[in-house]
Amino acid sequence: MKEINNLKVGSNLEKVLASGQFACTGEIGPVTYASFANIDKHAEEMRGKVDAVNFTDNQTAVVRLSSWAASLRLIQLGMEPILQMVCRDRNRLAMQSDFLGAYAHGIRNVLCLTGDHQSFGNHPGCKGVFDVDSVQLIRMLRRLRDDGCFECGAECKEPPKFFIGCAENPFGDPFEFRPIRLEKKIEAGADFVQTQCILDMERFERFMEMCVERGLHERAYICAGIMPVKSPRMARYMQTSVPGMIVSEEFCQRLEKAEDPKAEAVEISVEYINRCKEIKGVSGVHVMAVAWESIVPTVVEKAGLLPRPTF
Amino acid sequence: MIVVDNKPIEDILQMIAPYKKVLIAGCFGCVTVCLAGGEKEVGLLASQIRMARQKDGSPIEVLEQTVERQCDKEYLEKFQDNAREVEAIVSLACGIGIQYLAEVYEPIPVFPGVNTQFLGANRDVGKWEEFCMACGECVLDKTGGICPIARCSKHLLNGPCGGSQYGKCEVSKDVDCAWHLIYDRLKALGQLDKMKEIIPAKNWHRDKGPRKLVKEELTLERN
Amino acid sequence: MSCKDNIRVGIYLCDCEGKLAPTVDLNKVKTNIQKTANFEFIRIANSLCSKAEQERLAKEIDRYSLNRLLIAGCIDPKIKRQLIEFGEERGICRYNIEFVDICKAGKENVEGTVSLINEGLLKMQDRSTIVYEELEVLPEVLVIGCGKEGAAAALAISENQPVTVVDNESSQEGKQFIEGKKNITVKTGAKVVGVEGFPGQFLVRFLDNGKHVKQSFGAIIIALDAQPCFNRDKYQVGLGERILTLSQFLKNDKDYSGQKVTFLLGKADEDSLLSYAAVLKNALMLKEKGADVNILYEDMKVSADQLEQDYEAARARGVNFLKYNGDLQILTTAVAVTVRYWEPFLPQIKQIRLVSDYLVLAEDYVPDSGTADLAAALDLRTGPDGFFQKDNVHFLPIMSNREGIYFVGSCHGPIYGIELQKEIEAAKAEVGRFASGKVRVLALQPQVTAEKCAVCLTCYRTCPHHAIEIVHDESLNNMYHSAARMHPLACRRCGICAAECPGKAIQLPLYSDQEILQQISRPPKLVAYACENSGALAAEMAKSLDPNLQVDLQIVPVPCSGKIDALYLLKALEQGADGVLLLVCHKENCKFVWGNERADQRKEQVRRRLREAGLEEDRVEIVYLAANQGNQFIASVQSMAARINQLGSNPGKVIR
Repeated sequence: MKEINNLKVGSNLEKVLASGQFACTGEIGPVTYASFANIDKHAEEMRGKVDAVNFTDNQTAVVRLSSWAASLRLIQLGMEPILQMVCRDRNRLAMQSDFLGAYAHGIRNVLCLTGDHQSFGNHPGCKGVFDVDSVQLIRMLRRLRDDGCFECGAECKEPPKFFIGCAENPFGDPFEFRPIRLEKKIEAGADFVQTQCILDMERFERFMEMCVERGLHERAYICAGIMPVKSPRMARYMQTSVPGMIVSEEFCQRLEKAEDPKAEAVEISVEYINRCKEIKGVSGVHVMAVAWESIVPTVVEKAGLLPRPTF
Repeated sequence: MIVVDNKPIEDILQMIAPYKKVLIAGCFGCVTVCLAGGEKEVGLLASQIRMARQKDGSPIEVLEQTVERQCDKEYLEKFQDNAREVEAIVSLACGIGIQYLAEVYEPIPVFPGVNTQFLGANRDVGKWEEFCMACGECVLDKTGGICPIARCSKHLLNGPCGGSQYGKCEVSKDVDCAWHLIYDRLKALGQLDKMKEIIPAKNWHRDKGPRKLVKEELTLERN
Repeated sequence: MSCKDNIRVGIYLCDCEGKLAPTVDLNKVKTNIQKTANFEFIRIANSLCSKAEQERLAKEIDRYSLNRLLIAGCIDPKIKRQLIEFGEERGICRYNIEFVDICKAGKENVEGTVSLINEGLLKMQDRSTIVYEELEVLPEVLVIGCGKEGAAAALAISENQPVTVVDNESSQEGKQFIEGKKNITVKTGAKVVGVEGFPGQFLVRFLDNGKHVKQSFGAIIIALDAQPCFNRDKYQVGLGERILTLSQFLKNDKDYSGQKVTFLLGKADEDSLLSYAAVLKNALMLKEKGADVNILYEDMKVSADQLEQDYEAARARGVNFLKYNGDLQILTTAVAVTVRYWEPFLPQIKQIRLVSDYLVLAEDYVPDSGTADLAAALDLRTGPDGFFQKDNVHFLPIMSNREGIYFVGSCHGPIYGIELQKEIEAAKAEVGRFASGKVRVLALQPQVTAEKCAVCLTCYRTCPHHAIEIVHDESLNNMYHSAARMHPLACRRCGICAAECPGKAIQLPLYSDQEILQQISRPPKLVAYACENSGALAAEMAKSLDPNLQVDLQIVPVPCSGKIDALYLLKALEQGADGVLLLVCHKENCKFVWGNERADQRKEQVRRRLREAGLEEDRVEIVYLAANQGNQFIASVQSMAARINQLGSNPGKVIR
């Protein structure tokens, strides 16, 4: 693992990971109207309970309060955000421009994603930009940070230096290609990885085996995605209707058979987090409680992840 | 070839509503091959229009003519006798032909009778698929002969994305994931290494506006 | 091959040796025609049926290069036939000869007669010149199948033509009968993997013991023997030393004289006729060898000539035919096999105990294992139980969906194995056309105008008979110097290609767009496009069933409903009809495989166009019927007439 004094960026998240401690991040989904109320509320709940907080970027191609605005709000509240940027909505000019501004405001972590296709959202006929893809975006950020120049090669006087993250989906196809793809992203410059939420532990373990085999865990910090699913109906919906998601039968049945599904959901998440602590190559977890952000502190506490490290 | 599909008749009738004599102009090129704008379709549309207008009490005279292509001036000139007789022309050629026709026969209004869809391959009778987006810089050597710009819903050059599952694109289970196809193809060719290569951000070749191609060594000076 | 518009008509007004003069003044007629009509040559003949006149006619045909004849005279069918034969000998086919009844217009009605002649001339103008084509063909015949049936076919055909027999990696049972015989080459270990080209010049691809080879043949005969297959579920009994399948029994080389052998047959259905034949034949043979033979059967169907004879012979020779009903109880011991069964004819006795030394079970027959692959490779169809040919009433026994490729024997159904000789004779006659190395055919296949052909491949793909090729020739006047071409020996003239062509480049002689649309230039209320294999014949039958049928209807016959162009449907309505019917063959019974399906799609297309244009889509309807359904025709037409009465006059019709 990297030494604490060899930090690339110095964000809180990087410090936790670099010091070899098990990281824990949370996520807040911005709302579809012009208000910070939910961010303020959930940020307070998560203060001191997570190392950093993700803000999704027009998730499922539905117009929401932008990730950079939400991240800026969190900076004002004194916590650390992870800015998410998808390739669907901006070209490379807008992206680099946003990065300059975000960095100047104090944002230090960026998660690079392709983005759900525009057909899923509320403006299906709009133009999906995809000027660059996630791999090219990661590379762009690395060039800014390490070479000090824009994508076109021109020098940037005071370049933004971000801790670069990427996502990987251990449940996508072709399965044997996923670790190769992750390697490609790490090669391009990814420092940390957040995986799609695990709802099939066995498959995730196989995925981690393949990653460790390739030595990926030594080149980037891999954090496992954990999603507390509060109802059996939601679990079934994700099993059948969400692209790229594999939900094990066991997972669904546990929730269906439980007397108190919510409590069971917390149980399962805690179990999974504890399991992740044991899996070789996993450096932390990312708790994404979609539409249930308030449960994060409970999960984190029950999983024995408190207190969070401070520097 | 260029694949087009017929515009709804209501739209066409609206375009020609003010006129009493029109020409339906067909093309023996791509639109014939994709069964939308050849001599047969011209005949069917003409008959449909005549009957619709008769029923509405405003009869219309419809002339019919089809030429080899509408993207070359020499063939467009063949329309001149009929064009002189009519108030408007409905062209069933692709967007290229319609525009060229409009240019050559200005000030006669020229209307589109079809919607130009895409550049595609003809899988079988009545079935076409988009294969190319004329991006200007072909990467088929890197992707085993399957185009990620045209056939990946997000035109990714370093795909697949996380939404690819069971070989299908997240957009619909009827859409193959192009990158899954590329993966299979490169595997069959023994070229999987190519997938590790990071393809850099693309030049979309629109920096000079609408594109032109001039081959100086072939151009002809007419003096 | 493009159509030339060089129409040169010779008009002959036949006087019938002066007999017609009082009825019609031929001179006046001639003068009238000379003023108005378009023709090459005109003459009043004394009597065209005489030899002298015909010699003169022959000279005139040559001198004026006539390629059409309009003969106005009597309408005696014998003389017509004579003149047609005469014309064909001179290269003018029957379709380019028009007969007009000179007396039809009535006594002294010169105008009327002229008008009739002009009508005839118009018909001739629309009709393309149909010429003869001389083609070189290969007399070599390929027989696929080296079993007994293939060998029998090969022997018969080799009498006149060279034959190559391949076993298709299957049975070689028939090899001993044909090896070394004159005109026959045998190739074992060779499998057919593809066929290109056309009848008379098929290029066949083989996998010959692993190697890819090709060879050309004029015609192909498929004669893969059906294979016996023991159906365990049928008899519910285990096999053993004393209970054997027929195949096993035949393999044993034993002396059965004095032994009691019982053959067991299950319920008869048509498919088992071949197993019946096998049992009867072997029962008789065994009896002749001195065994004591019984045939235990539930039904005895002998619905083929040879079977009846075999049955009679077996009975005469003393084979016992024992009928049973219902279940059997079968018991074996070391020394005998006992069958207990219920006897339906002797009510007092009821159950019989039959003891034999051997019980031989009849087998079912299944298609040769290479059938599916061969069907795929040659694009032939298989039908019930996987044998060749779909169950289509129009598919005659030895014919396939491709000209030049024939089925003989049990490969297209076990019943046909029994009528083998008949089929072989029929196939021999078919392939015999190529024995001389040359054929002369009337070019009735569709003609393609190269200028309009976009080589889009639509006709090529929709042809059910593999009759189309794309030819390249500098003389073809389009940007590709390529165009589709229909092969005269492969084409069955259904016209599907002509109706599919998006460029209107294809015209089917006698059924060109012009010839068809001209028939509906002033249509009545109801127009019915009728397939000549069903609708048109049903309409004829209807005339005798109900001669007073009162419907304002016009029948436009087409060779296949697949020829019904969407344009024909719309034009009929545009030009004045209130309703249009498509009279087509029943589903899965189109003589040209999928013509009726294409017709249905066109009907759907036109209904959509009407709907979108704000007109009533119910003005177009499709009716499925067979040639002998005159009643159904009447009912459909009356129903449609009632419907359009309700809909009222077609508001879209444009009458000029």
